[in-house]
Amino acid sequence: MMIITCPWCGPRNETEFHYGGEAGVAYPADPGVLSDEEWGRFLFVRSNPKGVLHERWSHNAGCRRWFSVHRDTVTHEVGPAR
Amino acid sequence: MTVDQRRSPLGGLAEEFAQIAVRTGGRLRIAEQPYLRQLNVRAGADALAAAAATLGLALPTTPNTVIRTGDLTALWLGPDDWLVLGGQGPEPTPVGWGVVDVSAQRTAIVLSGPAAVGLLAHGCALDLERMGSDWCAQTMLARANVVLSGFPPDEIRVLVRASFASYLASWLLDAVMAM
Ligand SMILES: [Zn+2]
Repeated sequence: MMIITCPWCGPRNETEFHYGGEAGVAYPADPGVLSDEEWGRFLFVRSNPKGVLHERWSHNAGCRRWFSVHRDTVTHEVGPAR
Repeated sequence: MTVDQRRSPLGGLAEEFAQIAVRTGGRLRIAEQPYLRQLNVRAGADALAAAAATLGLALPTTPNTVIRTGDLTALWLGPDDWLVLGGQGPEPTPVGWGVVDVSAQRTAIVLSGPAAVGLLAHGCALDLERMGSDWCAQTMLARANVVLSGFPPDEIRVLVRASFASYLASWLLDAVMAM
């Protein structure tokens, strides 16, 4: 069980949260000009590092806010967004 | 003459709850607090003062805390989100903020006595022993989403959705057996 610190509520069990994937993935400024491959890349391709990943989480069972954290995909160490 | 035909989600368990006090020698009391009026208040920072003035209470801005004003209790749910318990009558008219009567969404279960915290610890990950006074928290209790609020010296109110109430009541009655 990971313990994730909600910026509002403090440390809570992972089961209270919903995972939102990698953070900082910007919506294309002009989606209409993207090729199918570029659109597919925006939708599905993520950095998937072995190490620290910048992630979105939602405190579903608590304050229901979205926020960003850094999580180490090897150690599951979770810290505030940098 | 009007007859009150309302039925609360846990109205049928009053006798089972009453027996808990007997069984535990008064160390734990559980009772449903039915038909508690609950207002959900949404207000941004710019409308916070107007909302508080119209409602006639103070809205806590510290996460997971409670402010009581007269017979009203305001629980922090989020940075722009509160639950106001108590009072009666129609909700006031908001201007630049929002209020919705959600009284029927959840029912209240009040646990009191020195064994209340220990009982909830069977299914709640928060360390309720270390909460200060006038705290609240939205969390999971035995896999049910609940809003907990604590009142000194030893009372905890559990707000649970009506559709989860009988499940949670069964869990509480079962957990008492392990005490
Ligand atoms: Zn939270």
